[in-house]
Amino acid sequence: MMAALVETRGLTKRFSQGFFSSQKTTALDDVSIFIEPGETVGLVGESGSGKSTLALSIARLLHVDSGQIFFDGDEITELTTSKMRPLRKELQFVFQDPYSSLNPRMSVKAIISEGIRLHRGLSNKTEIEDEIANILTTVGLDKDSMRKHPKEFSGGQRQRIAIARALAVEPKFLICDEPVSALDMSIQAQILNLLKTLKKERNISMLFISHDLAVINFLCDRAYIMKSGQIIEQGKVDKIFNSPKERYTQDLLSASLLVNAN
Amino acid sequence: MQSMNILEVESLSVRFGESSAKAVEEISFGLAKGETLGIAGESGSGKTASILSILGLLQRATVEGSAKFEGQELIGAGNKLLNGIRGKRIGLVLQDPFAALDPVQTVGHQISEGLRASGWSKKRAMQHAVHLLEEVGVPSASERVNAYPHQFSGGMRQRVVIAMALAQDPDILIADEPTTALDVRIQKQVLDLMKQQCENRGMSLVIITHDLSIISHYTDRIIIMYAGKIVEESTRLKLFDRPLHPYTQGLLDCLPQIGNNENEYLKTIRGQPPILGQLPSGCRFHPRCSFAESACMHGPNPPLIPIKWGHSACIQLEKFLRESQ
Amino acid sequence: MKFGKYLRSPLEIAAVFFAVLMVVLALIGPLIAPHDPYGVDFYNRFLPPSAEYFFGTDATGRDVFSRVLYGARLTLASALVVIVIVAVIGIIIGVVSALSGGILDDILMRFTDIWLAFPPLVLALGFAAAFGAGINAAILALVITWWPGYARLTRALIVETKDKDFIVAAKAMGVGKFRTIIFHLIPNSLDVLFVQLSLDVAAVILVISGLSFIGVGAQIPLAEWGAMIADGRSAMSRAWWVVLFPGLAILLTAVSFNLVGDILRRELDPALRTREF
Repeated sequence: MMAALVETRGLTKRFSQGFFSSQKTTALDDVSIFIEPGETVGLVGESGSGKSTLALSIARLLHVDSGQIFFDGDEITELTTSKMRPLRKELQFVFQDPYSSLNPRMSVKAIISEGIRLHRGLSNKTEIEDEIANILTTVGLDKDSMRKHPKEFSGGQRQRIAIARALAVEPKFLICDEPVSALDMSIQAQILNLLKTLKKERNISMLFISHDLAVINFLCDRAYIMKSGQIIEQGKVDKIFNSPKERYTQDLLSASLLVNAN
Repeated sequence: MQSMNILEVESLSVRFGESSAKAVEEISFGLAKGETLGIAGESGSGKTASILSILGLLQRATVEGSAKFEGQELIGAGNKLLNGIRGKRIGLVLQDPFAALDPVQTVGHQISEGLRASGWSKKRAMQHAVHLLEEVGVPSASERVNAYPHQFSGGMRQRVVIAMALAQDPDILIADEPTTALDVRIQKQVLDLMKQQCENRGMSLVIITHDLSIISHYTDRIIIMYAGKIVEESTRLKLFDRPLHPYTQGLLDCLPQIGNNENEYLKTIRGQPPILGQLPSGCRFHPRCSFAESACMHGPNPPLIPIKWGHSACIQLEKFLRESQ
Repeated sequence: MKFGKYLRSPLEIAAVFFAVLMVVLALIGPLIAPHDPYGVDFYNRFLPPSAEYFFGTDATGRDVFSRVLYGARLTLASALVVIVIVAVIGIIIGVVSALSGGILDDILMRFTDIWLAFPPLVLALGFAAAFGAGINAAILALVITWWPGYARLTRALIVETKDKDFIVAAKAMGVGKFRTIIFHLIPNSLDVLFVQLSLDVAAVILVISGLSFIGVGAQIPLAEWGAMIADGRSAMSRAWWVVLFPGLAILLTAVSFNLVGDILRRELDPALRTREF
């Protein structure tokens, strides 16, 4: 068996309820998952299930109370900011809201070049511009886009920019937190196709979060079902969706009203 | 046939502010008593603007055309008339339950507000509020009636909003993206609830949504809107089986489905929906349509023509039906 | 009505023009002044406005016009000093407070609150009594009492912005903390602050002139507008020009900078709110 690219063991995270309250909500309860190189793993859950918390924790954007996180064989749970920096190149994040994940005051060029300068060791202006032009074309945008600002783009286009930003540093692993949930259906389909293409062409491993089972089915090889901070079911996508073991999973499936298309 | 419709909309157009571009252009449709109509479309389709304009709820908008509720003209009607209809004869449920509820008033107070304004006594109105909460499935209704909105979960809040909309026993319930902000299991519960209430009360229901799966399960008739125009009008059973417009077909094709693993990639509609100021000439969908001919680009905007079981605004309909078998 | 992209009325054009004019005069005023602003000439006391003395002369024969020109530099420079120092202190404390959170945040904010309690006027009087009256006493008093407002405003703006997705995205990209603050955080949160600063230029001008007027700030013979008014007050009935022109200068400068601040606020973001500290 290949060593997992990303692994968590017993991750636990509690949030306090309020300033005066001693009560805590458990966002993550002893969560252990893994993603192998080249795999696309889905994370399914309703609001409050802890899926976003898990994603942010793996990306070291949130502290956990206990448990371990491994990336490419090394433990990264407690790494300092400076020690994490080189790993940031390998582990990238695409956020849900395309309207708030891009700096409104930066041009697309500045947004994408930031990562390139930090992690690709390029400093020559022309080289960087060429790289940006390439990556914009890859995500389906015109290379003139680089001179524009985020507000000149639609939601779907902004999400392409966000994906370009992540890909520009050539990561091994991409975490996508509901990247298409805020988009129209026809645009969703375009972005999903894009992600599938990138997955195949670049052999990127992905953790893909969605509440939409059909989307998970389209993109993922394996999936974890989360509820109240716990993993309650996992397995290959076909198996989970055709013969779910847990009652909750069955409920989710039947509630996902499926279109009676030809 | 048409005179039996509880709501009859004809050539409705909406323009925002000073722009000459129409966000909604000359749409016509009817709603029968007890019927559930789905209005589907993506952002910019004008689906929300059209309904809000009928109720006089749009700011700085110029509305033209006609919308008759039980024969009474609503467009251009004075505030007094509209106030008498909004809430009382036509109830509205919007997308974000949190935004629809006043955070500093109890839920019971808000549900009973319309009733008290109509002359009901405070006691009787409150009793009715409790009864409504029970009907919409809020547990411990007699206690919860005194709770505040933030004390309810998202799904429960939406039920409260539905209770508010039903309070004065309206003839039509309009729901604009009522479940978009909710989890999938709660979505089903809320939709089941609305459908059941409509059936019990003989109420008509209008569901505005971008979610075709909701349309496929909860509606009788459907209109599909694109860039401010209606492109197809059909029935629930027929729409999915035999779309009458390339856009509808495109939408159906681009949905990922569980169990459909034949195709590696989703079939997408190329391009993007047009921006209001830059509407294409002729048929607004033509730049993205695989069936477009030069007539689609150069002619006028295609009108909605009756076809067998519905209506279509596609002038290449024959070609489309033939080639999309 | 729209004149150009940003200005919507003749009044706004006039305001921008006047504000720019004041800045220009502050820079080159002393070079174009026709007479020595401090040149005493008892033979020409209280002369009415004429071709030689545009604004007339004052109690000691000094040319009011030249003094008004010199006063522009004095007033604007003092206001600038106050604003810059106040902004720097306020932003630094606000940023540190907002980003550290926890106990440091609390300590800094309580420290800020304490300074808010000082009344500018009383403090200015105190400094005048302790160190002697003068424009420096006025500046010091203003700096001490004005910075807390900026610290609190900065903190509120930063707290509101720091959890936004694009800031988290910068962290996910490995962007250093300092760079994140300068390039991501500040440009997207301090719009309101810079608008407040431009509005405050007008307020500071008024306070400095006011303090000089009551004798606590700049002293005669310094050509500060407020001091000039105080000096000419007793002779106002017979030599109105000694009081009118400095007064007009204060009024028009404050109003025009205020209007420019309003324009900035409107243009930077229609959804911008102004905050009261």
